[in-house]
Amino acid sequence: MNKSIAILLIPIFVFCSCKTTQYTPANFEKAMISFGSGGGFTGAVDQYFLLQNGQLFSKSMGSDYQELPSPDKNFVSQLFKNYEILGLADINIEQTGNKYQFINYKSGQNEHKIVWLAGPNSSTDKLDLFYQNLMTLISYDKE
Amino acid sequence: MLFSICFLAISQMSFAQFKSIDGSETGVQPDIPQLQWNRTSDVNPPAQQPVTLVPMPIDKINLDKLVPSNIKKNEQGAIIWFDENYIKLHGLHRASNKADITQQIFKSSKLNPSQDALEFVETVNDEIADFDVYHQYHQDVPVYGAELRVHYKDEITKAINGKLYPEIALDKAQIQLSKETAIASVKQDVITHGTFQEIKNKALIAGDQTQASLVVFHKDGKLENATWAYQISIYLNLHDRWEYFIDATDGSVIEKYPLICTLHNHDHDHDAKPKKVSVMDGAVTANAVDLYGNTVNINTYEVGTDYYMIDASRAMFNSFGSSMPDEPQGVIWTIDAFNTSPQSNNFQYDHVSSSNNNWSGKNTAVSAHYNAGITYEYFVEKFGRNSINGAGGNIISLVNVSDENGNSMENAFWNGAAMFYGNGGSAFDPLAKALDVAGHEMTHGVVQATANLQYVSQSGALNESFSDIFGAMIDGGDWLIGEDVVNPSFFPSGALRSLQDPNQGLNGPQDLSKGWQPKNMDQYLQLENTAEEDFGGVHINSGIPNYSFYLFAVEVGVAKAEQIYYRALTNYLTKSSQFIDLRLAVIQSAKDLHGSNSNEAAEAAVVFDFIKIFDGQGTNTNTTVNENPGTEFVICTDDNNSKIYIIDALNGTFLNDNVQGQPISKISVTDDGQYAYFVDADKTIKEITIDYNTGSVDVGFLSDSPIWRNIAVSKDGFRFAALTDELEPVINVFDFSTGTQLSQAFDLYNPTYTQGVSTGDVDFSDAMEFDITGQLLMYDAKNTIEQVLSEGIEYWDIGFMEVWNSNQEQFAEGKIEKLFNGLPEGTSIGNPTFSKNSPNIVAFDLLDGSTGDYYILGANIETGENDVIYQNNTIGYPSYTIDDELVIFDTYGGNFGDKYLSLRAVDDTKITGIGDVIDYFENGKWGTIYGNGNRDLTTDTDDLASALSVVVFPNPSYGNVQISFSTESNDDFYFTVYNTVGQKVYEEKQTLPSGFNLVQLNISDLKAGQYALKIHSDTKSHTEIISLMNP
Repeated sequence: MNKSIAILLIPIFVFCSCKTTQYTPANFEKAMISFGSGGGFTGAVDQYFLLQNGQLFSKSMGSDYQELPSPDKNFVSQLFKNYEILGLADINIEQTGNKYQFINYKSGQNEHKIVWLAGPNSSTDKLDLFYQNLMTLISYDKE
Repeated sequence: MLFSICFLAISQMSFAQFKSIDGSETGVQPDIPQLQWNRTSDVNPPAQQPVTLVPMPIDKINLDKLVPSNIKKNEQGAIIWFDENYIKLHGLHRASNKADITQQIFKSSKLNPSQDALEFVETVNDEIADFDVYHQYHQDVPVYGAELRVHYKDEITKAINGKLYPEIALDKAQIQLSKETAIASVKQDVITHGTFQEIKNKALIAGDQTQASLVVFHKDGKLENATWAYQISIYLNLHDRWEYFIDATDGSVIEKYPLICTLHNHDHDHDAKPKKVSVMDGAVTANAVDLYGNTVNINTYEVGTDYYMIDASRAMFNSFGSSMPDEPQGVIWTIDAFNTSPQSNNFQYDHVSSSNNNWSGKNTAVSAHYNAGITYEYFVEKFGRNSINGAGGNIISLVNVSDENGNSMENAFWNGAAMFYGNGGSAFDPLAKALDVAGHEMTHGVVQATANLQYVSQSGALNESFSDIFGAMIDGGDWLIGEDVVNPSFFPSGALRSLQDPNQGLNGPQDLSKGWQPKNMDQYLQLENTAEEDFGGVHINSGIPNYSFYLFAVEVGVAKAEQIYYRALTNYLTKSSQFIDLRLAVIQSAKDLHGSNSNEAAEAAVVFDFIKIFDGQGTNTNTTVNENPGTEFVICTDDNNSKIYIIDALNGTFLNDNVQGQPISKISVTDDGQYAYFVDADKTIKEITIDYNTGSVDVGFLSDSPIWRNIAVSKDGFRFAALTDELEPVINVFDFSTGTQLSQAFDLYNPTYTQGVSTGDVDFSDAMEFDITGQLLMYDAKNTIEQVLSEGIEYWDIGFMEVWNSNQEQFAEGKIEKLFNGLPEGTSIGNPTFSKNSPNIVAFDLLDGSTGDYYILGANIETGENDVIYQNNTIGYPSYTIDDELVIFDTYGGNFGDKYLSLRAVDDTKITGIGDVIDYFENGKWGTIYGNGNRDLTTDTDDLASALSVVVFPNPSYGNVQISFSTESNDDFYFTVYNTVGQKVYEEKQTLPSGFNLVQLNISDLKAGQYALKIHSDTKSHTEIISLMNP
């Protein structure tokens, strides 16, 4: 019973926080994670931006940023910590190919890109875990 | 729920060691000592170079063109090669008399006619091969692995290769073990690897559960290890099969290993196992309903009582090599991914199968299967192309593929090995429905196997464009892409892209997501080479070459246009080709097919002018640097590693034959030959300073720490890559170019290209060599692929790592690419070396583990071409001569198979060996060739000689030298003379007007001898060897 309640509450808790000062990825100077996927037959690129202040944006090529509901700041904070804890900064994968995913961590002048191709064995468990965590933001948004 | 699980996992990992994001805490290993830099003089200053791009991996190793050398044995003594000269010498001319052939082979191979036999097995004769197969027998028992192939061309014997084991001194009386006893012992042992399950239905395993036969077996391929053995193959259960070799004289296990199955990632179905084709099995057809609701006829395959969506009816099907249904060769194969994602850990896939050849409810698979067949036939009929890879390789489609989030994928893609189709959603119908989607994706495979256009910017846009062009041609009827699968509410034109109108009536770049593309160079979008910007707009700027095809096809007709574009793709374009190269390639292909003054060639030029890809210089994909003007030397050790020799290569005399040092790895030399480095037997790094006037050397420490295993120095001498004896996946790089010592430890990893192919983990590196810029390090590395039931599979391969950024004067990020995109199983490559003057050319050792054959291969990392320089009999450690006309390598040569440093010439491609092998230095080992002159290592200078007709005369002279050439514009030219040890002895600068120029140099003060005269401006350079006869 308690377990069921906990599961039910997490999504609500995640997206109920308030917004403060508004930025866009273009003018935000603190840490930011952009992520997404692209390529394939369609060539479409779906890109998302998670700002350290909790703002979340989407962007497709040729279009402006579109702000999405912000996730909970604690969750955002955890995600940024996870980037460090999981050692994503040490993953040096920049592949080019027909279908791909990417994560781009930017903090001030420092920028670290990870691009990996679609398919089995193309990424690490840590990378998969982190990417799946990021994509839960988008999945919840879609729901 | 997913969130909860992930969060828990993260929390548990929160105590993991933290490294800073900006990398400040990564890098230098604290326990790595710094080097002792104490040079008294500098070598060439480092040249300013553009940032190096690591090369794209090559897809296929080409061993088709074996280069004959002579009759050769491998290190174990087995005969592995008879060459053309041997055939002529011994009169082996035709296949008409097989007895003559075997008799002649017996004469020279020490086979014993009274004990041994060569039995003809079969003739293999198809479009690409024509050879007879023989097996060796000893006392009527087959010799395991002893197979000989006699090759023919036009019925004339061309070559013989394979493996024979001479001098077998076994007698059947030695056999002490019965076959039944051997099988019993295997059954006892095999259960340690899993649960034994009796298989009553033999159809599931196409034969007996245990099969045994007596063979002559040579452990490790060595002659002295010959023994009688039982070769026993046993199915442990339906999933696992093992192969054993049991010594028939004492019952011991000589070897055992698992035979791994390949498919069945799907958890729910493990019933079907690989089976040899039985009489009752085979290709059948079925009527099935596709995603349009149309009934189409598809080819399927019957195995036992099951039917599989495998089309084995095409000409490419290899029935001999196939084990159906799991290991087919030359088929069109459709696989179900069960709505899982290849990007997720639970990716599942299995055959699309049926118990009655009825495929109702499998419309998606039917469409993918049917469309793949049409696409295959298109390439066969139009261009004679045998499948995607041109060599009858499988065409694999996976359907019901979800995206990385587990949602229905609104896309389709090519992953380097197969096509993956999603089932669409709001913007797309199931992608497998449309023929142009199948054509598009399969053409990606064709491009990969031909020009291998790099998937970035213009070359990437060409890659996409060829996929669209042939996708549209295969679909036929219109110029649209994706018109049968898009939702018009998302794509207002009703198509994803259009060759006829790339703009599709939309407003411009703001409508990219609706299907707008540029149609000419005025509309070209300059985009960053990032994932976020479509790798420089590969799906966007492809509209421009797409439009070129449409315009051209309208003018000359579709039939001609597709032939010309296919020829351009397969004959002229290379990895880094740009739009201008497409123009040149199409015009040239039109000339090839229709004549130099043909209307087709003229129309091609008009079309490209119209879209504003104007005439110009094509991309130089064959960059070269000037040859080292100094004297050529070889530095090497001997077979005992007892000392170091420096040899004047041309004269064949020792400059010094007693350099103190016992190198444990190959010696690395700066480009001007002033310094050489090696790791000594005590694991310290030694620096040799060479005086070419006296031949004396000074040997000192670069590091007196006894921890090293290998060292490589950059051409300019300012950078080192060093390995410790820890056997760890790390390369330590030290830089001195900024005036202070910088160091960085680079982790080795295996990037993955072809999904589904595991490249395993890197264990450690060994051989290393810097490119001419000093920014890219080429290395070999040992890797291990872990196995569940057995020891890991170990292999060596070659990679390139960006270690330095000259523009930023700091270490690069260590990005790695591999030389080959997946090696054949059992193949290892290593000991790579760059050619001296062509940065795109490399040579390396290859060991074919399945045959024990050694090769030295050359490869062009720009075009992907590779070829055999020499079929060797040991590891070669190749090195190019300073003019790149020969390669030196280790081999067993001479009359007695002694260790030699030997030479073989290469042709103009620098990757194909030609002519005889010259045994150069007996007992020599690990030869490195270099020149001791100074040269400009930049690659962006055009060569004057070809462009401007430089003539230097008289030559020889008494010091009054005249140089005539033409220039296109006013320019400053330098005339620099170097002596044979690379010292600059004269320089003069002249500002020359455009047009014809005659320059006079007075160098009569120089001593008589040979010199290098370098004529260069900022953009052009030419070097000429001149002789002075000054008194």
